[in-house]
Amino acid sequence: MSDSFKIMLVDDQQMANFINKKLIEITQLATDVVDYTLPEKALVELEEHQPDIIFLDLNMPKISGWEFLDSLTQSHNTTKVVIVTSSTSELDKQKAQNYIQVVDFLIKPLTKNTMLSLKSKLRSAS
Amino acid sequence: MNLAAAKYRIAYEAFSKFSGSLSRVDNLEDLSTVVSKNLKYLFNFKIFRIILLDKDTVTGYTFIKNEIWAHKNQEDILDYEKKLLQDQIPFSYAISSEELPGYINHVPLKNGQLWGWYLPYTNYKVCVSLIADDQTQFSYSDVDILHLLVDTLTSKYRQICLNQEIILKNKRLEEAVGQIALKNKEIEQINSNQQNVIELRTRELRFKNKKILELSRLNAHNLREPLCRILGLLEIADYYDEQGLRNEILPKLCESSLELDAIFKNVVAKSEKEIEYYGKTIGNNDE
Repeated sequence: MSDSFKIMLVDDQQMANFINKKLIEITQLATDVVDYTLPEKALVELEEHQPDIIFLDLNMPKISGWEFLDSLTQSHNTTKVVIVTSSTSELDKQKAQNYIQVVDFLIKPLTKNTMLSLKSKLRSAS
Repeated sequence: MNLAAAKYRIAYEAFSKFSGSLSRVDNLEDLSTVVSKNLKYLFNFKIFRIILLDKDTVTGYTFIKNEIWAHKNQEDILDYEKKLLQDQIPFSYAISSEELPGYINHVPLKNGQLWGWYLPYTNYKVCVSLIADDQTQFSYSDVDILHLLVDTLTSKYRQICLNQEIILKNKRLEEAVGQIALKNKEIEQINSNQQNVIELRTRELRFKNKKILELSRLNAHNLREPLCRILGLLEIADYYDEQGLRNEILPKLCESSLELDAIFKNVVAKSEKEIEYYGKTIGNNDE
């Protein structure tokens, strides 16, 4: 894992981004964080930011997390994605496995511990 | 050819003609008309009466030249006929116009002679009477042809009555068949309605179940959102000082709690509305 690690947060709830940002800061998961409440805007500015990882909510108006992933696949973008959802549905978890970008499926609320285990998982993978 | 043979031949021809006319008759009115027209060719008479009695009905006719009187009532039976019906003995005696009922006492009689016969048949008692006088003499030798006439008339009368009965019964039968067909149709309608009701209710119940499932899924998801935020805020709360807690975390906790409360209220209201709606459409028994 390099010194500069950039994460993009995509969640229509500003407060969710606020919490996750703080958790990232506490656990030192990344040095750089950009957050979006509008997934369509995040898609446009994705090239500009080139994040190492995207935290993606599923249940969003206008563009859902699934549509966001479809859009990535269409433009052959293989940026790693961690799904962060309040849905406990097993169906969603299974569906997520169809996308090569998805490296983890986390259920809200995120905790320090989940962040830390994600950190070690990413570190061992890199 | 002697006189008797000639008379016999005339009577035979008249009777053939009468039978021919009778065969085309199919109601009682025509029957009396045909009899009236042909009677005078068969034997001599001034007044001819026939009364047919069965269990319930009286049918009678009085024939005078160019006149027919029809009788339907018990009261129309004359006294000498009542006696005849009782004694069943044929008779012949002198009678005057004054002894006859009003509708036939205008017939002038010169030494009037009344003849009477009682004739039993399987289904009827028949009482025949004839009044002749010096001008139109009834001969005893005409009794045979009179009996023949009564036989023919009675059997024709019986045939007409039976035909009418058959027609009536057929009509009733047709009505009954019509009624049965109507009832069958009603039953089919009821069955089909029942089937429709069952299908409709099944469909409604399926839809209702699906709705409830959707609702519970949506509720779980919607409720989890703010709850997760509250838990998330608590998770990071340790890393704020008192000032930070008051300014950053508490307002967000408050906001999320209010949102959670609003969602709860909404869920309850929506569920109640749905229950009320389906309670109305499906009926109280299903609830």
